[in-house]
Amino acid sequence: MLVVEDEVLIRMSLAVVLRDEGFTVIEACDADEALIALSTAPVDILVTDVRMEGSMNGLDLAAQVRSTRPDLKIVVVSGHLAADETHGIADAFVPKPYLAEKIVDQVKAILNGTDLDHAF
Amino acid sequence: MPSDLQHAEAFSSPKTILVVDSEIIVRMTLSEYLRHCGYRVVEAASGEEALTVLKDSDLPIDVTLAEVELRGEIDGFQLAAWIRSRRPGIAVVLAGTPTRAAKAAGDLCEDGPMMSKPYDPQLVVDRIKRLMSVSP
Repeated sequence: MLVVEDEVLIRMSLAVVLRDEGFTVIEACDADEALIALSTAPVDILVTDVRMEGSMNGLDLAAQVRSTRPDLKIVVVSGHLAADETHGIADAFVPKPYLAEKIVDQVKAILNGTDLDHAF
Repeated sequence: MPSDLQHAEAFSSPKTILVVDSEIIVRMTLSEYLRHCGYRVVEAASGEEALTVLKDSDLPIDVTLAEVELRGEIDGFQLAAWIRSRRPGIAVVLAGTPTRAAKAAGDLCEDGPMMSKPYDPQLVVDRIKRLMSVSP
């Protein structure tokens, strides 16, 4: 799993919870790092924030990944977007602020093919 | 006078390592191996991110393994100086190259909580080189 978040404490906290749940987590601080990670490591789920420094934001990253890696599941988190703005790009949307457990539940739901209320 | 690495090894049971490297391939590879050795690993992509982590006194960091050259305004030397003055209980290992960082990680693993088989830092170096050769 690849977690892309430019706020280090948020990224770290989410990664810790996901690792405690048994996931292998790669951490990227922006979309540029994420693209390198995606090109070099096995990733099946992308969890990305939207507002980040770098050559593209998280939604652009998600859209690019959606077109090049349609098999990869995508969770977009944002405090600024509405869920419908990620339609067709993300498999799920989680509004900020969130509890890390919310992401865990969402990821598990995606892997299980279960729809949560806030999943598409 | 003991080196930084000896200082790090002198810690009885370091549990959490802060890995600071602006190259995600190096950072994720080192972190993965250190986790395999049983450490908790916190990752930072810059000196600024490292300071954010280190200023959070609730995070019990035992060792900081940092690249010297980091993107942003704070390099490894400045980070080490900050730690020396503000968090002197944290051992600092500065690495000038991925090879040296891998060797430092190997030394930490030998002293790690879950060492079960010989650790070969050359494997880490080889993996970093292989991943860098295929990255865009």
